[in-house]
Amino acid sequence: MTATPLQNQSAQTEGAGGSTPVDGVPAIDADQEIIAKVLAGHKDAFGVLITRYSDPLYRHALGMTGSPDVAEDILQASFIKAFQHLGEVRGRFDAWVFRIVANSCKDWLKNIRRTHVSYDEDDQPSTYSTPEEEMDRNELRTDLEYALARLAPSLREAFVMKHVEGRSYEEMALLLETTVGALKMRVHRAREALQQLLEEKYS
Amino acid sequence: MMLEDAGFERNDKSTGREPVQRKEKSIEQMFDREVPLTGTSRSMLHEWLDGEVDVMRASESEGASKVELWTRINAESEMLRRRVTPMHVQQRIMSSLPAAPGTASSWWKQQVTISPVSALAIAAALLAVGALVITMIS
Repeated sequence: MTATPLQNQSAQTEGAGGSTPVDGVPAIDADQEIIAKVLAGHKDAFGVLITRYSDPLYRHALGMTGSPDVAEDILQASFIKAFQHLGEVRGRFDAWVFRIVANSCKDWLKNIRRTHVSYDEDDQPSTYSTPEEEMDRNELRTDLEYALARLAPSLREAFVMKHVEGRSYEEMALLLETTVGALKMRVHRAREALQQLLEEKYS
Repeated sequence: MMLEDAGFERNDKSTGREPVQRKEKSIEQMFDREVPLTGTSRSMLHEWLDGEVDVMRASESEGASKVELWTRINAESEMLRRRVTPMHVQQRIMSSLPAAPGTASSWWKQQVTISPVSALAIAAALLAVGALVITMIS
């Protein structure tokens, strides 16, 4: 199998989540080679895996927590955990490390009651041309994050993977080890909940 | 979906704050159930958001305001999709890795080495226990 739904865009040749070889080597095989190198004592080789998978994992953590600082911490802790347990990887590294991040996010959500979160320290370039548009965008972002925080973790996870990360239902099913039908239900219910929470103000 | 179905507006007159808390809890409970979608849920809006129909059909069926809302949400989601890991994070992870990776942390997966002397001692102990049990039975 060569599908790599978690690869960073920069590491891909075409498309997202397709059968994408890296330097002519299927990524799943390439991952296994890197893991073998790391286990043989080449610690720096682990940096390749971090570079390859950090962006989608960071976006997932950011979408789930709403906080760049928390997302960074979860990413760091997850990669350290992956490194410590690298010898236990059976099968796909990307799906395995995704589950570490996803579980960490859900644990964090269980422990923290968020009342208001915004994507603070947002240093991404804006595509909005006027201050009014920028204000509208910030308002929607805050309201959307507030609404997402009201969702159950499983629904938030499904919504973030579908809408923020732009994954197909098939990729999501692979990563979460569940069925496409169940994920469609979660995404639909998340949308209905968000719409219910937001439409009074925005419709 | 009707709000009443989720238990809203029931017994909410006792205090000023309780209804809001119950309402939020009800929303979480209502949308965390994995039950078959109803006809209403499988709307044109979902089909549009899943890329199965075009925006015009969704707008005609669901109304322009809903489509406008989801267009804005999608635009915001697109912005988030472009975010990348800050450079310092990758460096921070690499510098905080332990000296060597773990190979197998679970004790039941770890290999056990027994010397010949230990094996003989264990065998002798087992024989002794066996003999003791036989003596007690007879």
